[in-house]
Amino acid sequence: MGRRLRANSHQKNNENELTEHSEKRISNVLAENISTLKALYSDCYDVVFRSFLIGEMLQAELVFIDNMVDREQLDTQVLDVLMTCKDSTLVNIQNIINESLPVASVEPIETIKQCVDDISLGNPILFINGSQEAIRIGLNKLQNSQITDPENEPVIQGPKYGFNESLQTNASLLRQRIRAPELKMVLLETGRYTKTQVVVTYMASVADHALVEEVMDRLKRIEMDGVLESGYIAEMIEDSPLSPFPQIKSTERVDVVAANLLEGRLAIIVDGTPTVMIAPVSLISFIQAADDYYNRWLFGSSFRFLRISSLFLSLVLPALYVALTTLHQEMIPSDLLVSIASSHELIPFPTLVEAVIMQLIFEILREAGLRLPRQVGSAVTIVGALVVGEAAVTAGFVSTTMVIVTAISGITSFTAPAYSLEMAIRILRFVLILLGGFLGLLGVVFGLIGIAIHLSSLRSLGVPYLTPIAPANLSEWKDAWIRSPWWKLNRRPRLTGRWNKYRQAKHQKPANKKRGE
Amino acid sequence: MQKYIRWFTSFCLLGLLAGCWDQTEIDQLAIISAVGIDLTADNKIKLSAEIAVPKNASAGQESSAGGQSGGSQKMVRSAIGEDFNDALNHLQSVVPRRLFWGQVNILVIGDKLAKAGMLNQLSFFSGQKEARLTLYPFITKGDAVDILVKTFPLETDLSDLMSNQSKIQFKRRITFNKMLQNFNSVSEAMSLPWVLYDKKNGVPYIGGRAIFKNGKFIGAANMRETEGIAWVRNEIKHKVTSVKVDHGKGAGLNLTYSKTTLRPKIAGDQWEMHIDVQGEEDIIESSLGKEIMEPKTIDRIQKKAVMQIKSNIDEVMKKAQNQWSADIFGFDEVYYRKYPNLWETHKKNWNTIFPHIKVFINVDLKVYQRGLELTAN
Amino acid sequence: MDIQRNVTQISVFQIALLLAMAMNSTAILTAPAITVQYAQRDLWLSPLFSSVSGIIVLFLAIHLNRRFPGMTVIQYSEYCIGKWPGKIISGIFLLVVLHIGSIIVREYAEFVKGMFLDETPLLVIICGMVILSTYATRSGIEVIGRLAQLFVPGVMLTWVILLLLTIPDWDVMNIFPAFDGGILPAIRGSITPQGWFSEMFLLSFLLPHLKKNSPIKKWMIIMVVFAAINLSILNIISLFVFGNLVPTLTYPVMSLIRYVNIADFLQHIDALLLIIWVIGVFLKIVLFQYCIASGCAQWLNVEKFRPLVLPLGFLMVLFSLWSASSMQDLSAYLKDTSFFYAMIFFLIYPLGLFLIAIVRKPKIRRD
Repeated sequence: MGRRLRANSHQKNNENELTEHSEKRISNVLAENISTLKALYSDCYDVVFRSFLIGEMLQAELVFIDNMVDREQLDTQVLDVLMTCKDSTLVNIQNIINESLPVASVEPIETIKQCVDDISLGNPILFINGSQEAIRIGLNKLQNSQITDPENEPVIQGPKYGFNESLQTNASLLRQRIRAPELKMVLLETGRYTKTQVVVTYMASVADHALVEEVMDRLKRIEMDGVLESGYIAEMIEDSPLSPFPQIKSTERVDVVAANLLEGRLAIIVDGTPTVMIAPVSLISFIQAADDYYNRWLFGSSFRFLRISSLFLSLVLPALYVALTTLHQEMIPSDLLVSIASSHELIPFPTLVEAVIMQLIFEILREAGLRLPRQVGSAVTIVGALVVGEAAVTAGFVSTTMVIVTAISGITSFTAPAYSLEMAIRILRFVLILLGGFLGLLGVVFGLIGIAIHLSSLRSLGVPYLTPIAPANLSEWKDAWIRSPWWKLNRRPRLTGRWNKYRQAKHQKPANKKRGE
Repeated sequence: MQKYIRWFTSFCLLGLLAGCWDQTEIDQLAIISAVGIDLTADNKIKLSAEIAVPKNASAGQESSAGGQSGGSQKMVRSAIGEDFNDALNHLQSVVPRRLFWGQVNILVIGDKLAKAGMLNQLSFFSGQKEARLTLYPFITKGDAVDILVKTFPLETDLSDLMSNQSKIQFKRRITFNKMLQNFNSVSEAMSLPWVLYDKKNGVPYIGGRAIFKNGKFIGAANMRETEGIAWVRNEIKHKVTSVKVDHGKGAGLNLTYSKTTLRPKIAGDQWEMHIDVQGEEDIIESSLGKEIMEPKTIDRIQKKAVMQIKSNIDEVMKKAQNQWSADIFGFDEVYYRKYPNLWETHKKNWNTIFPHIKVFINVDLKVYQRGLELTAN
Repeated sequence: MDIQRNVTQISVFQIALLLAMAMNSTAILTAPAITVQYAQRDLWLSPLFSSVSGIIVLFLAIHLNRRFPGMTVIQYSEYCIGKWPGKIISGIFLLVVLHIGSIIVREYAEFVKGMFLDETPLLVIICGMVILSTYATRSGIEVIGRLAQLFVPGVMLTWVILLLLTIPDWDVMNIFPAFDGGILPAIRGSITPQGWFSEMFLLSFLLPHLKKNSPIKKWMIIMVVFAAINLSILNIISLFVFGNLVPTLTYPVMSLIRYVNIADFLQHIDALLLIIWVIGVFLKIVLFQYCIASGCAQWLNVEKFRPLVLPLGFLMVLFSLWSASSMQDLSAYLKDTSFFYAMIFFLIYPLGLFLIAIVRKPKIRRD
C-alpha cells in the first residue's frame, strides 16, 4: 500500500511539472533549462543531452532523441563546426545561425513547449548559456529504411508497417507514434552473455507506477545466459507460467503498442526481436483486433462479436459433436441425426477416436505447412486437403460430417487476432474432445467450468485476466464485447489507467448540443 | 508432499476418465421415427417400429447415380408380446441394433387397442429418458402397422403428411402431453386424430377424430364433425369454405382469424353453455360477378357462412351429447373454472349432466372483400 | 510475487448473483413438482410466501454481522453462548452444512444420471463435480465471486430465452380457478421451498469479505425477490404447459424444455438446460464447500482454509453417496425432512443467537 501511495504522489508531481513547464520561456541560465528538460524527459533513455563548449568557452547543450536525428550530419555540421570555432563573437544566437551553422533549416525558438515539440519531431535543440532563445536544428531523420510489413497481423485498413529486429528503430518508431515526453523508455540489460538490451516503455501520466516498478523488479531478477527472443522474457515474468493462456501479448504492430500504451499498459521491447510485448493484458485484449478501431464502429463491433463466437465455437464444436453423437443422440434434430448416421455407417473408428485423429492430422498439416519453405507449404495444404478431405472420405476412413466439423473448428480458430490465444484454444480443444467423449455434455460442461475457474484465478501482472467481464465493469464492456464509437469511449480501462480516468473530452458525439459549451 | 498429493489426484482423475459408460456409436442405433401399437386377436400387444435406415456415404453416392433422391429409407419391424414391455423386448431381439427412442415423433394406435383402453400401454412414453411428451398420437382404423408400412414418395415424415393434407389447419397439433392431460380430466373424454388409409392413392390421410370416453375409443367423427369440434375447442387456424348464395352461385371464403369463447352458466338446475365464435373471413373467389361488390351480397354471404358454422357446431354437439355422451369439448374444465365450489359436488355426476347441458351458439363472423377486384366474365 | 489488489474481497453484486444462483439452481428442477402437491393450481404463489423466510434469514445474517464485524457465525456463536457450547453447536452446524451440501451433490448426480447418463456410475458424476468445486474453492472467495459474475448473466439469458420458447405451448386458462381452496394451500406449498430460501444464511460466511460500505440490504432484497419471482414464473409456466400433469412429472422444468418445438425446427434443446443447470449447481456446491471449509478453519482456529478444502471435498463425496439409498429416498427427504433440518439451523439457531446478542450484548475482545 505504501508503494502505491508513493507511486501515486509521484504521478501527481509529474503531471504538475508538465503543465507548469509547458508555457515557460527559456531562461538565460543554461543549467535551468537543462534541468527542466531533464525532468520532463526523466526515464527516457533515448533522449540525449550533449553538453559542449562553443569555441572552447561558451557553454552549450544539444538535446535530441537518439535514432531520430541524422547523427552524421549533426557531428559534422553542428558539433564539429561549433566546437572548433574560434570566434569569440558568437554570443548572439543570430550570429550563430547566420555564420556558423551550415544546416538548411535552423530557427530560434523561445518556449520550452516549442522545444519539446521539436525534440519529439526529431529535431535537435541547441541551448546556449546566456541566451533566452534556443536553436532548432532541422536535422531529423526518420528511420524508414528497414521497416517491414507486420506479416502475421495483417489489416485491411491501417498502417502497413511493423517493428523490426533493431531496438533503436523500434524505439524511434514508437516515439514517432507518441510524441509526448510522457512516453518513458527505460533501458535494462539482461542475459549474462548476450547482454540483451531491453526497453520498458509506458506513459508516465497514465500507467500505474507500482506496475512499472513490479515489471522492473521482475526483469531485473532474470538471470540467464542469453535472451534471444522476447519469448524468453515473457516466460520469466508471467504470473502463471503453467497456464495455457498467454498473459503477455506480443505484437508486431506499432499502432497496437501505441494504443495499449495510451490505455496505461506497459510495453517491453527486446533487442533483436521484431515483436513487442504488452502487459498487463486480459483475455479480451487477445480478441481485439487493430482493424476494430479503424473501421467504423458498427462493423468493428460486429466483427469482434463474430470473432468471439467463432473462437468459442472452435473450442467446443468438435467436443460437442462427439458428445452429442455418441451419448446424447436424442438432442440432435431427427433429419440431421439420420444424415450423420448415414455418413458414419461404414466408418471403422469410434467417433471419439475419429475426432482425435482428424484433429491431430489437421494440426500436423498445419505444422508441416509452417515449417516448410513458403513455396512448398502451399503444396502441403493442397495435398492435405485432397488426401484427408476427399480420399479419406471416399475410402470410408472418416465420415463427411467429421471432416466438416474439423474444418469448421480449424477455420474458426483462424479468426483469433493473436496467435498465442489460438494455440491455447487448439490445445484445450483436445481436452474437451476427450471429456466430451467420456462424459458427454456433462464432460464438456466440466471442461468449460474448469477453464472458467482457471481464467478467473489467472492474473496478468496482477490484473485479473477476465477483467471487464469478471470482475465486471459494465462501462468497460463498451470496448470488450463490442467496440463502441470513439465518442463513447471516454474512459481508460480502469485497472491500468485509473489515475488518469478520461482519455478524451466528453460530449464529442457529432451534432451533440452540449458539444459547443 | 503437496506435489505428490497433486500427482496422486491427477492419476485418480485419469482413472475416472478411463471408461466410456454411456457411449453408443451412432451406427449402432436403430433410430425409430414412428411407433405403432396394436392389439392382436388373442389380446396381445403388437409393437411396430418404423426405423430409419441410413444409407452409408459411399453407397449413397452410387445410388444417387441411379436417380434415387437423398434421405433415408425406412423399414418397419414388429414384435408381439403379452404387454408393451414384453413386446418391446421381443422387438429388440428382432432388430440387430439398439432401439433408439429419442427421435420418435409419431405414435399410431390401432382402434382395437384404443377400444380396449390404451393408456396402460403408453406409460413407457412418459417415463422414458429419451422419449418426449411432444409425441403426436394418432388412432387408426385397422392395424397401426399398416399405416407405418406405407411408404410415401414425397413426405419424409409421417407427421408432415398428416398435417399438411387436410383442408383445415389447426392452431395446435394434439401432442402426447395434451392427450395425457385430457385423460387426466374428470370426463376422461377427448378426441384424437383419426387416420384412414386411402387405397386408391396408397396414402394414409386424416379422416376426422377418434372419440374417447372414459379413456376408451367409442367411435370416430367424420371431417365435418371434426370441424365442429374444432370450432368449439377454439382450434381452427385456417379453413377454406365455399358458400352458395343462390342457385349454385357463391363465393369461396378463407378464414383468417377465429376465436371461440365458452361461457358457462348454471341457473338453478339448468346447466347452460354459451359458445361465442368470433371470426373473420376473406372472400377469395366468387362466381357472383359484379354482385360481389355490393354490401348486400356480402351480407348474404356472411349470413350464410354464419348459418353453416352454427349448424356445424349444432350437429356435432347433438351427437356428442346424445350418441357419444362424451365431453370431448373440455366443458368440465370450463365449469370447474367458473364454479369451483359447485363443481366439487357435481363432478361425480358429470357424465349424466353433460347430455343435458343447454347449448347456445352465437357466431359473430365478419366477411371482408379486401381490395381484390373480382371480375366475372 | 505479484501485486494482489483487494486481496480477499467480493462485491455485493457478486454475492447477490452467487446467492441467487445457489437458491434457484436446485429449486428450478423440482420446485413445481413439490409445490404442486399442496398448492395445486396456485403453485405460482408459493415461492412468494417462501421468500419471507429468505428475507428473515438474510436480515439475521446482516445484523449479526453488524454486531460482530468481520466474524462468521462460527466465530460469534462463541461470544453469544460461551466458548465451549459455541464450539459444540458450531461443530454440529458445520456438519449440517456439509450434509446439506452433500445432498445437493447427490441431487445433481441423480438428475444427470437419470436424464442423461444412465450407465455412468454415480461416483464418477459426483467426483467430477467435487473435483471442480474443490479447485474453485481453493482458488478463494475472489475467484468464486468472479465465477458467479462470469456465469450468471449467460445462464440467465439462456434461461429467459428457453422460457420464451415455450410461449406457443402455453394454455393460460390453466391457472383458473385461482384460490380454489383459499390461500392456505399456497402457503402449505411454500413450506418446502422455505427450506431452500433459508439456506441463504450462508451469507454469514461471505459478509466478512464484503467490500466496505456496500448496499448489502438493498441487493439482498432484490436478490430474494428476484429468485422468488423466477421460481414463481417457472411454476406458472409449468402449469400453463402441463396443466394437471404437473404432479406426475419428476422434473417438470426438464419436461418443459423438452417440450419446446417451434416449427419442427427448433427442438431438442434440452442440451442447453443441462449446461446452464450444471453451471448453476456448480456455483451452489462451491458456495457450500467454501462455507464448510472456511467455517472449519475458523472452528479449528486455523489461519488458512485451503488445506482443508480437499479433505472436505472427499467427505462430501462420501456423504453424498451415503445420504440416500435411492432417488425415492432422496425426494422423500427433500419433500419432508429438509425443511425442518434447514429451518432449525439456518433460521431458529441464528434467531437465537440474534436474541442473545441483543439481550446480553457480549463484549468483543479487540486485540
